Formats: sequence, structure tokens, C-alpha cells
Amino acid sequence: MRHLRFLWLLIAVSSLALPLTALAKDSRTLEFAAGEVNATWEGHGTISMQKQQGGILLSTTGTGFILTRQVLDIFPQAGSITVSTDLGTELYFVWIYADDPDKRPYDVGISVPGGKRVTVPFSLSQHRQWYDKPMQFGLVLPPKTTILLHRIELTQWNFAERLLSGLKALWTFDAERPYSINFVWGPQIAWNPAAIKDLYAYLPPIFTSVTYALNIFLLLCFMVIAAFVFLRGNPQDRRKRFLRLALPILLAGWVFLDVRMGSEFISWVAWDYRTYIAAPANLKTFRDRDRFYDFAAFAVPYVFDRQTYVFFADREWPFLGNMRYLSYPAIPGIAYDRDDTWIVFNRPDITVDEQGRVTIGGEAVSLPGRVLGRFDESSFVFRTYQKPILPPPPPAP
Amino acid sequence: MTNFLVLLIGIAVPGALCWLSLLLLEGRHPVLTRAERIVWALTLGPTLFTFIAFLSHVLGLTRLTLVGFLLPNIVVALLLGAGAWTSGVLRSGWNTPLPASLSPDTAPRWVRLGVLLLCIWTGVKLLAGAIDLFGVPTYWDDSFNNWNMRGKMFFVTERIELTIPVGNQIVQTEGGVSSYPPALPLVKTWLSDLRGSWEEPLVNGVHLLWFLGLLGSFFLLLRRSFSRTVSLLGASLLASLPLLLIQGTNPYADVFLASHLFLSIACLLGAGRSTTTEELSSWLKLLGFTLGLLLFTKNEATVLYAPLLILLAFWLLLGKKRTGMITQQQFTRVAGLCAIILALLALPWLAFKWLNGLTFGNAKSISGMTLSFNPLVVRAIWYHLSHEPNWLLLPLVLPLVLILSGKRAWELPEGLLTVFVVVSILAQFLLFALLAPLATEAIMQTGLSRGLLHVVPVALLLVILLVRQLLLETEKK
Repeated sequence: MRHLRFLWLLIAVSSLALPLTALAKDSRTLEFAAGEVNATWEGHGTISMQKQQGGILLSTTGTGFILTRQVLDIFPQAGSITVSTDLGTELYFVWIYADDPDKRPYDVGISVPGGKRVTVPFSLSQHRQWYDKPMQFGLVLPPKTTILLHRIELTQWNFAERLLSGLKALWTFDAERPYSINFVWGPQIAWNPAAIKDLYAYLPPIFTSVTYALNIFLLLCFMVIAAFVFLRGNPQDRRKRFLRLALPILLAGWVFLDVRMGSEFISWVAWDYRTYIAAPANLKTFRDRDRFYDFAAFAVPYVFDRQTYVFFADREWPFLGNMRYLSYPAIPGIAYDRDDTWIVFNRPDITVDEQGRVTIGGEAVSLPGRVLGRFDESSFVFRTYQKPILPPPPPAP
Repeated sequence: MTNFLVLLIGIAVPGALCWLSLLLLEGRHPVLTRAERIVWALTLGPTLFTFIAFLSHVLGLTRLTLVGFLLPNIVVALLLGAGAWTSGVLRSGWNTPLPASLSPDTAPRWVRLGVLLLCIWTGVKLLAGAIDLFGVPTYWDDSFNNWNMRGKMFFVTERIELTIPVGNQIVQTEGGVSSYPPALPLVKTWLSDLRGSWEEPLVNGVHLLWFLGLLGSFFLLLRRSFSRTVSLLGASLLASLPLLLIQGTNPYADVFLASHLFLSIACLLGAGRSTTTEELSSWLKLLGFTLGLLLFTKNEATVLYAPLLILLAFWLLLGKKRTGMITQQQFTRVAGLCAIILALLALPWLAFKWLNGLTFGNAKSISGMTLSFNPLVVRAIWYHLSHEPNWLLLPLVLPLVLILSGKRAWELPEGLLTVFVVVSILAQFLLFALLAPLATEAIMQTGLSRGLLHVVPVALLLVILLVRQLLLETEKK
């Protein structure tokens, strides 16, 4: 008993020490601000590099590379870049291995939003080609890109932290999306915080499927049980003995996946409840449709006595079909040479000019009329003063 | 609150009509328990109710108005009521024996507690799903392009419309979603007629009925062979399948089909387990009835499930004849009765389809499709079954249990389920892999997941029955 107590004490002390080691995240920062540059960089392709106070201004006409041969003393699982750019752009973190005879550049895409000193994390560990410290690494810029690069940071986490990330990833849920009615990706495993952010960003996900891992694990368990049961004991009841051992493991796996997926399902409902069902009228948004349903409720009464009307939204799917259902028997269309009522959703390029005409990209496309109701800056209902006259049909061939 | 009341009345009225129909079909030899008859009636009722209204409408007798729905159904209900009263089946129906009483609960306390926790968890998920179903707008493509759209069209125009305006001056003619049976849209039309307006919570909320109906009938079928604890565990396992839960709590038609299909399977299994000719006859009449209504749910029923179920019924009857349980004369009589009931329900819709040039595929006509093998389909199926938890661990367990059971899995009566599950899954995989226009349905996991969804309740039932068989029986040398 005393030995057991000592063992428990040892475990308790070790577990207290665990968070201290877990905090030992190791990073290497590559600075680009004037006077702080700590690596040698070279440009390849059609790229111009200009030192500035806060970083290095990179500008391309074609595809451009900025690479360093800096030796890494850590093997990072993820990184981040800090840049300033007026427009959002897609950059790539790129690396080349010394032992690769072809010197192929492998890369990871990084979506950078526009803004000042934006830090964007990216994960490396899930990429099959990221298996060793590279000989060269850096960034690739697509043609006609201008950015001010401030910093690149590469990070290595220790085992305990990666384990914690894995657990967090396991309980990170996908959102309810248009594909969710047909399939669910289920839990994915990622081993660093940057990867968790992108867990469901790729279709299909590029991480390890927990469902697959569980299937393999259970299959191996069943094989071990089968070997144990079928080689020993009474052959008369070996299938029964197999089931008695296998069923509890199977049920445990089933309930685990059920709890995980059921929680994801409930998280969807909670999200819908917060953002739509219980949200104040002017703040209701719904999944990927934004404020469409509130807009439709606002706009449909204006066409209750119309058979057809003109409808424009920022994209045809799913808004055309959804609007057609909501406004039926009034049918949306593009016949602005025949219909007098326009319903416009989320189209900043469609406005009403000083003569009271609807313009698309600055070009007038309707007869004069007035806005019957405005939902927001880019969504409104418009009606012409006069009903457009249908042009004569083309002569028969 | 008004929507909720209308929903209750809107499913209770068809339910009562269907309850009477089931009682009459069983006749003097009832085979369903009281609870089963109620759950079956509520599940099948709206389909029967809309079928009668559809028939009256296409014959030019009524429009799709409140009166148009009620009048023909009242006439049928009066006829059925008179039949039930004179034949005395009302009395025999109440005296149905309870086979469940044969399975007492012997599970240890901790097992019962575990199952209770699972049931509470299932209840929480169902409640969450119901909140979403009643509270959010129509979001999914097939809901606003097909099921809800057609229901709204029928409600506004008061007639069956086969031409659907898509928008942008495009009009969809008979080849598209109009080829789907109108039962589900008509249920929505009926509820809206009863309410007096088209209400989203009402027309979407009704879908919960078929999910609860499926869970209820699954539980009650298990209850025939198992204790309450095991039956509740089985129903919880069914509700735990993520894609079934998602589809069951959204306004889609596949759980609607699955609930009807499961009842047809239950009839087939009941017929397989029957020990007297009278019992067999009752089950086969019910099979004809459920199968006829199944054809009125979705096209997959016509092209795949119904032919397979008919073949299985013949296999079963031939087996019964071979063992001497029924004579040739009895064979002809029970098969004939089943066929007549099926034809009465199936022919009007099939004739309507044929007369109006509607397709027989899943919104795509299967005639004239070219054959070409697509390896991407195999990859998509593998990914769907092994990497995604759509059906939790069922894709792993089903083949494992079939292998363990060996030949016994294919013996009657459980063999009926085995053949159905294996053939319908493989047939769908083959159709997706070989018919070029259908390949996309597998690669995008649309038709693939829905096809599997129809079959998984039967597959889970089969797994539970085979595991029981394996645990109870000692292996033979």
C-alpha cells in the first residue's frame, strides 16, 4: 500500500510539472523591419524588394519568390506571417529540401486579408511534404501583388502541447453548411493551434479523420480478440465469446462518436438559436445566407400582386430558387424590359441614379421610378413609374 | 401555438383513417399490437390521406382545397367504418396479444442506467432538432426547389401542377422534380389548407412525425423480441446515426421514405415469422398496403425497393409452401390479396406518371443512360463509409456481423433482411459506378447518402437481430 501511495504522489507531482514544460513553446522569428533583419534573403522571379522602416516592400509583375537559406535549429509545426496590404491576396509559404535532386518547391497557401500589420497563422505539420528541416524557405507571391512584409514566425510545440491541441481539435466542430444535409466530415485531428483554425477549411479536410482512425483501431482490436478467442477455449462457442469481448469495445466507440457528433449537432442548433431564432429583428443572420431571409420577408409584400419581377442578388445560387419559393406565385427573373418591380439583394454595384433609373455598374438599365423600400445600403425594392413596354418579337425566320 | 394545434389535427385525422384501414386489413386475425397500430397509422396516415385526395383530384372530382381533401377522405372513412362495424374487427383489434410481454427486463441495474442516460441524450438531440425544424426558414435546395415549392404551388393553384417556373424565365417541365410522387407536397398543402395560409413552421415541422414514427416503429419491432432496455438501446442507436438525425429534423423526403420502407420490411419479417396461415395472410395484406403507399413517397421505391420486396415476398411464400405451412391454394389466395391491395394503391400513381410522361428515375430518367465505369465513385463510397461518421460504426459492424453469422444470416426469416440490405446497397453502388449521369450523385455524396439512409434502419435492425442470434445460439460443429 505504501508503494502505491508513493506512486500516486509521484504522478501528482509530475502532473503539476507538466504545464511548466508545456509552456516551452519554441519559436524562431525572422524580422524584416529596418535594422532588425536577421537572415539573408534573395529574390527570384519578377519581384522587386525595397527596404522600408517597418519591413520590406515586395512587389511582383509575374510570380516572385523571396527565399532564405537560414538554418533552422527547430522543426516547426506551424508559422505565421505579419504583412500589410491594401487588397486581400493569396501568398504561399514555400520550402525546398537539400536532398531533393530536383529542388522542387513545396508550398502551403496563406489567405491574407487586406489591412495593416495583419498576422495570419498557417499550419505545416499536416502536409505530407513537410517532413524535415528545409534547406531553403520563404514566400511565393502571385503576379501583380504588393505587400509590406513585417515578420515570419515559425513555431515548434512540445509533446504535451501537441497532445492538448489534438484533444482540442477532437472537440472542434464544423459549422452547418450546405453539404451537411448529405454528409458530415466528423472529428479531425490536428496537432497545433494553427491547424485547428483550418480544420474544416479544406474540402475534403486534409487532416487525419478520427472516424477512420477509430475504425482501424477497432478492426485491430477485433483481430486481437479473434486471435485470442479462436485459438483458445471451446470451439463450440467461440463466436459468442468473440462478441462478448468485442461488443463492449464497439459500444464504447459508438457512444464516443455519438457524443461527439451529437454535440456538433447541438452546437449547430445553438448557433441558429443565437444568430437567428432569438436574435433581434435587425440583427438576424442565417448560416451562409447572411440577412437574406429577413430581406425576403421585407421585400415579398411588394410583389404580392405581381406575376413576375426583376431580381438581382450577389450570386444566383441559392438566392434565385429560395426567393422564387418565398415570393411564389410572383416569380423572379431578369426581364427588366417587361417588369416594373426590382428586388435587389446585396448588390453594391446596383444603384438608383439622379434621374431615378436603376444602374448596374454605372449604366442605366431601367425606366425612371422610385425606391419603394430600402433594406440596407445595397438591398432595396424599386418600381418604375411606367410599366415597361415589351419590344416587338423578332420577325419569324 | 396555432401552427402546433393545426399540426396535431392535421396528423390525427389521417392517422385515424389509417388506423381504421390497418384494422380492416388485419381483419379477424390482428397481428399488430395496439401501440404498433397507432404508430403505424400516424406514420402512414398522411400518405394514405393525400393519396385519396390525389385520386379524387386527378379523376376531376375535387380541387386541392380543404373540402377537396376532406370530402373524399370522409367518404372513404365512412365506408371503412361501416365495414369495420359490420365485420366486428373493432372488437378483435382491441384484443391484440402483446408479444412483448414474452421478453421481461433482466438487464442489470447499471445497464438500465446506461440506457436511460442514452435515452436522455437522444431526447436532448431530438428536442434540439425540433427547435431548429420549427424555428428556422427553408434553407436546403431540395426543400425550396421541390418538396416545399410544389406544396406551395398546389396550395396556391389548388391543383396538381407539373410545370414549375424556376425563375429567370426558365420553366421546368415534366422531366424534373414533378416526376417525384406528390404525397409529401400534398401533406404540406393539406396542412396549409387546414391552417388557411402557408406557414413555414407548419410545413417544415411535420417532418418530425416521420422521424419519430421511424424511431417508434423500430422500438416496437425490437420489443417483439427483446426487453424494454434492449429495445430502447436499439432505438437510441438508430437515433444516434448523425445523418439520419440531420435528415430527420430537416424538411427532406428521405426519412419520409425510410419510415415507410421500414414498415414494409416489418411486414415482410412478420410474414416470415408467422406460424399460421391467418397470421401470414394478415401480414401480407399489410405488406401490400405499406408497399402501395411506399410507391407514393419517392421514385427510389418504384425502381428499386418495391421490386426487391415483391421478389422477397415470393421467396418467402415459396419457402412456406415448400415446408408445407401453406398449400398451393392458400399461396394463391394470400399472394393474390397482397397483389390486389398493392395494385389498388400503386396503379393510379403509376398510370398518372405514364400518362403524363413523368420519368421513373431519381429526378433523372434511368432509361437511355450510358454505361461507363467511374473509379471516382468507388473512392467516394469508401471515403463516405470509412472516413466520415455519417453512420457512426455501422459500416464496420454490418459486414463483421454478416461474416460472423455465416450461412445463418441468409436463412429465413432474418435472411429476408440480409438479402434486402445487401442487394439494395450493392445495387445502388453499381448504379452509381456504372451509369454515368448518376456518378455525380455518389461523388458529391448526394444520392449516395440518401440511398444509404433509406436502408440503414433495416441494416441496424439486421445487426441487432443477428447479434442476438449469435449470443443465444451455440455453434454447431
